[in-house]
Amino acid sequence: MRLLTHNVMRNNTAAASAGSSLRITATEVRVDESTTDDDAEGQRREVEFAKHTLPILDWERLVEGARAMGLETLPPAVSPELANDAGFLRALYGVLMNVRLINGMLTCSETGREFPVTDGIVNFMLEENECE
Amino acid sequence: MEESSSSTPSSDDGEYTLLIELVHRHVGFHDAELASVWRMHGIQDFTFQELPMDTRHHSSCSTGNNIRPFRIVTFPWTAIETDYSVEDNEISDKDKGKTNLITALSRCTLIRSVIELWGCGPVLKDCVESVRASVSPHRHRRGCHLGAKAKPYSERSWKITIHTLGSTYNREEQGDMRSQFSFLDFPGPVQMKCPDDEFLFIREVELDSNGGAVYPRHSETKCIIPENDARPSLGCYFGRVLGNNRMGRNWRGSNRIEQFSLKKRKYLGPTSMDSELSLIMTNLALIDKGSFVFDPFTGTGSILLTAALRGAYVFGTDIDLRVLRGRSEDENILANFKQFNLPPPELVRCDNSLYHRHFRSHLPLFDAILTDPPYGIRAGARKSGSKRDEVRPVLDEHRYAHGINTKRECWTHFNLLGRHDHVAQTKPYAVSDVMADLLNVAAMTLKMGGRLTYIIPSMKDFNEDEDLPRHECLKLVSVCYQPLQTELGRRVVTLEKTNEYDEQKQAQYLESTWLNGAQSAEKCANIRERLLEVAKKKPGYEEKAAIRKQKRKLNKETKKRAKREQAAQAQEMLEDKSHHV
Repeated sequence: MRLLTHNVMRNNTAAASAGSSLRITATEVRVDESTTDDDAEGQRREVEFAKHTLPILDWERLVEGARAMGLETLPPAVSPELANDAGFLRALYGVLMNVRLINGMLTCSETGREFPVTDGIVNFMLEENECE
Repeated sequence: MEESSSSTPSSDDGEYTLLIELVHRHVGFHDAELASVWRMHGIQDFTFQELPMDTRHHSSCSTGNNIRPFRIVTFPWTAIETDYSVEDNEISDKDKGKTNLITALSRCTLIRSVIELWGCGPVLKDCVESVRASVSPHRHRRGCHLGAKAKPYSERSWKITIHTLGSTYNREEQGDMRSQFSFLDFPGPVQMKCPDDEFLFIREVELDSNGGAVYPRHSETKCIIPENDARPSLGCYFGRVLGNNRMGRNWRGSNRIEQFSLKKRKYLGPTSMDSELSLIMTNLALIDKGSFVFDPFTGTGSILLTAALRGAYVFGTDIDLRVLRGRSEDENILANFKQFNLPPPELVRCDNSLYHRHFRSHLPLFDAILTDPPYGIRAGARKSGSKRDEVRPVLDEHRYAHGINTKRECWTHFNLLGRHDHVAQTKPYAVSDVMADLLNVAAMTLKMGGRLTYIIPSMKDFNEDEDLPRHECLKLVSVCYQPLQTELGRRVVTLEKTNEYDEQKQAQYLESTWLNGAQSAEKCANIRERLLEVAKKKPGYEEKAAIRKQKRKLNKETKKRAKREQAAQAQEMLEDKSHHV
């Protein structure tokens, strides 16, 4: 599970509100090496991707999620200058897309419902008594 | 040849014409795919021209333009000088700021070749006359659109290829056709292998739906059929092949489709998509490098893989954890991605019927959604929930422990952790709801202008105008039909997000999905059963079914026998060995 997924998805039981978030407990984290270090065109695409994704991100959630995955380097807020800085945007792409939770657990901030992550795949399936 | 007589226009104005030759496959997709490729590259100042045809010999109904695998497109010559380039070498310095038409069109899966059209007409004679009157030879002599690196006119090697759409003409006959163009008098050397300029003469005849000639020139015994041979051609075309150095004349040559071939993949399932169709779908959905693409029915990930091969970032979900995880370490979705050197896709196990609650709020997240939803042909859809009316609570000791997700893993942990073996139940998911949820999720999570491209199978009774699901926020772009059997076909439908999603109207959106209510959805559900029904009505079904059954039985027995014999042999060998020891 990447941090982008963590940022946009939530507990899907009826009990949780749209504002609920998921706390990460990381057992195994993998950081993929960037494949675009010598590829200017690829870097430009990463910057574009981050630039388009930034407005829909919940920044607080991202900082928290990154911390749980062992990344402490994110700034507490994004200033307008940063939002246009190619270096920052590429680093942001790396945080969103290249850091993956391989094994661990996501815990709903409101209900405490746990969703396991195994082999990089989150399991959001509900048990039948949680379905209406 | 005269330099430029009063009848030929000056080479600085007029039009630049391309002939696009398409493969005689996926005929219903030709125009939609082409339109997407134009759109993707912002190419718009062109017009389509009528294909040549002599109505005295051919009627337009039997040779409707849409099934002829050719398109003629003209650009103003000034546009070729300022906006577009047709240079063979990919992006030279001169190309910068210009769109290379060859690069753009090479994305089109169904294009076989593109030629700079010098002349055309219903029969050879008209074609020759048209080339004589054309400005193209003069332009070619000046060569300013060939690029700075191109050799001068006098040194360019060349050849003329004859293409007769599958009809056979012998060497002399081909030579006769070629000699009609000898007035062009190219000064460079003739070269059969990789010439600088390959000229192509195409003689078009009427083709049937399988791409074979309607009036074949030769019988099965390879004798000429005189009355067919006497029929005039449908159209004749002459021009210079584009992209020759890069892709050869046949752009579909081994390097384009084959490299993505399903056969080469490590992990496949019964519903993995044919790679050509998924490539076409990536074009219909305007997927480019850096697009963010979502498939809510990932399965074995074949659509995601194709999107990733186009350079997209991909995200997939499925309700079935087994397909997402694959069979083993080397046989799973990740292995397929690794095989093509692509970054791992993002996979999540979740349930489509609950999508409105899966995402934080209604985020314009994806550039495209590309999917082959389950209609119950080879895999029926499921959603979360119990089959029972009254749901029994899951006992705590049955819940999975941390990190354990499957029954197998549970069994291995059985002694350590107790019985954490609860498997979340699923129940059937009606096609009408599958489609309503799919369109709603697309409306919710697509960026403005983003596209949803999906496959829908249907029997003959399906009415494109009334039976397709719809959504207020999505506009229909194209519907492409592919016949599969006489009764059955499938459509690839492309929608584009044109209105913002309004959370308040969700119930209304879902309700108005089907114009004729769920009965439309029934037309594309349970097709397997309906095909069987149709088949049963055909005369002789019973006998044929009995024969098939007999065959299956025989096959099974032969296999069993072979297995037994093998086992016996192995046993014998073992005994032999032990004797020796």
